[in-house]
Amino acid sequence: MNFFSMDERTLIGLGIILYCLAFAYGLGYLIKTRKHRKLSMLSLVIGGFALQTLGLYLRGMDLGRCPLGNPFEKVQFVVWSAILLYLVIGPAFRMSLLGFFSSGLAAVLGALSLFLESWDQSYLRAESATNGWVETHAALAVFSYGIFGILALTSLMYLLQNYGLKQKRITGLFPILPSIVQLDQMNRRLLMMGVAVLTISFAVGAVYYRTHLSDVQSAKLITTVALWLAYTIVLLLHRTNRLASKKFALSCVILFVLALISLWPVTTSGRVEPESTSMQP
Amino acid sequence: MNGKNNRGKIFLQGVSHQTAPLEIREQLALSREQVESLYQYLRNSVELKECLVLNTCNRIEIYGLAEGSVGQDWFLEQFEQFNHLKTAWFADFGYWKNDLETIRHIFEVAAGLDSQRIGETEIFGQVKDSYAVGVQKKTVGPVLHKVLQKGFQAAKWARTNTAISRGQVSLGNVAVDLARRIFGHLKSSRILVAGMGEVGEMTVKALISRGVKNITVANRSPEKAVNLASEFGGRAIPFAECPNILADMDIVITSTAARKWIFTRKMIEKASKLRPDKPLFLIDLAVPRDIEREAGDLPGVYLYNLDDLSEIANANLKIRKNEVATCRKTLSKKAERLWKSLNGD
Repeated sequence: MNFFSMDERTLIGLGIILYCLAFAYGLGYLIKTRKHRKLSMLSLVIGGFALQTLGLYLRGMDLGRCPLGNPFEKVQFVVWSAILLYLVIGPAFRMSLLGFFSSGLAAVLGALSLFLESWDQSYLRAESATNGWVETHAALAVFSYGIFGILALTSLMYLLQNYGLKQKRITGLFPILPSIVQLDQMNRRLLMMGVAVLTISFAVGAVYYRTHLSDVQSAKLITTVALWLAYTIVLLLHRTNRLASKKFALSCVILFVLALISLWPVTTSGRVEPESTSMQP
Repeated sequence: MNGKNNRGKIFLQGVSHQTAPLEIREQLALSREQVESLYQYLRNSVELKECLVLNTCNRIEIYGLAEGSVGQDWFLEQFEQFNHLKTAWFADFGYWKNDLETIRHIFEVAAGLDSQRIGETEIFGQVKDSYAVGVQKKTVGPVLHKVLQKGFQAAKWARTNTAISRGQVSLGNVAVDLARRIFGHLKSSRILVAGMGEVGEMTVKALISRGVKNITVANRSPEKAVNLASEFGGRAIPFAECPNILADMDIVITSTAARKWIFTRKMIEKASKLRPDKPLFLIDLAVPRDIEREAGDLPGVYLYNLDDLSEIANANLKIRKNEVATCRKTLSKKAERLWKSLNGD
């Protein structure tokens, strides 16, 4: 499906370029003036988000389902979810600098998925993938990755602020980062939200998979359950005051890196050999 | 002009933040009683005709007028027996100045050019107070009197005619900025103020102006604690209670004259464990320090001392660098004029 003679991959690519521009502009402005340009950054991120949404929508229309079949689509959906979350929570919690970090994450992951063409191989729809329960399960699971992505960013901001305060740094990025307390509260809320969404995703998936046990891919199940368990343990430890401040933030960053790595077994185990549906022109 | 006429030799032996780190300065710092003893000791020196002790948290300087060709060796030898003055450290971390250099130095000190926060005005009051003590003790004679009076005039000129104090960031505002980086809004922050000095008061006032309401004051003198508490609209507690309420506090400001730590790492670790999800901001304005340095290594604990705050406040120094150079040049000319007049030229 084309939009003004542009295919969905081109639209997604243009969206990623806008994320890259937002990050580069934000970085340049920060280095030059030690200030953060909110409105220009937000405009570029919104532009990128609109193009990416359109690209994903067109691909979904082509596939006739939510585009979550290969690593490219999954990474794009994670990026899309993270940016959506930023657009919701950034202004609400006056975390404008989160836009800078979110655009950075979107630029890196988005560009990586675009350059690695092997990630966007054609695939054949598995029969189960057309089931509404399975589609909702997959969409929610990947959305939770987006939440964990934003959590990793706010945790990174926490670590930077903590480092700046401990090392008595007052220049550059440090004075404009949100406060330690604000970031800690945000991390707690995002972690609860991420675990809740991933739990709901499991519950929704169980509706289908409990009657179709043969469709369950063990590598995918083990990886996602391990990830859910790890995030839940971190949440419980934090709630019971046994994992706080720097260690809590560090755990959230490490877990997101593991979550990204886990996308690989989740994707490869679910891959069905291609027949005719080609994603690459 | 050699300063060795019948008037005698003007000299200065000092240690300041320019030459010694906080760890050394806090061990050299003299209590009020020790300054008293030092004056008594100085009076016994046969060669000394006049003297003045300037003792602040950033410097200890002894100005004098002596007969004969006295030098740093003479000074160190003279004060070797004075228990409270670690003369060896004066040799290692201090500076010795003679005649014109001494006058230049006191002019720059009074004008705030030698301060940690260049252009600050508190030092002017501290020099004046030290001068008043010297006059009262009759250790300041006609020569030091003239030097000091001219120094005050030069300092006033510098403040009025140059921009050295312009764009000055107060330590109170630096502390507020740091507190906001830790807590965001400060309205619900709880503050413990242990002891009170000029900078401490400035910091508390800056925090109050940003909405802080919950203030607890502790002082060795219960009466002073009650007075300060009523001034800030807070409550007073006995000094010994401080470690027990640490866990309920968000910001702790200390500026006591204690010679030992009033908050050890152990005390802060214990308090921190009772509030693992809340950070603790410790502002140690005392010299010698009130809070064990290692407490700053604890997670969720942010410890800043006087040097840290001053360094931050001085961050905009570059902007005033040209102004400082101009000011220094003019003060030097004024010092030379005075030196000539003292020598009868």
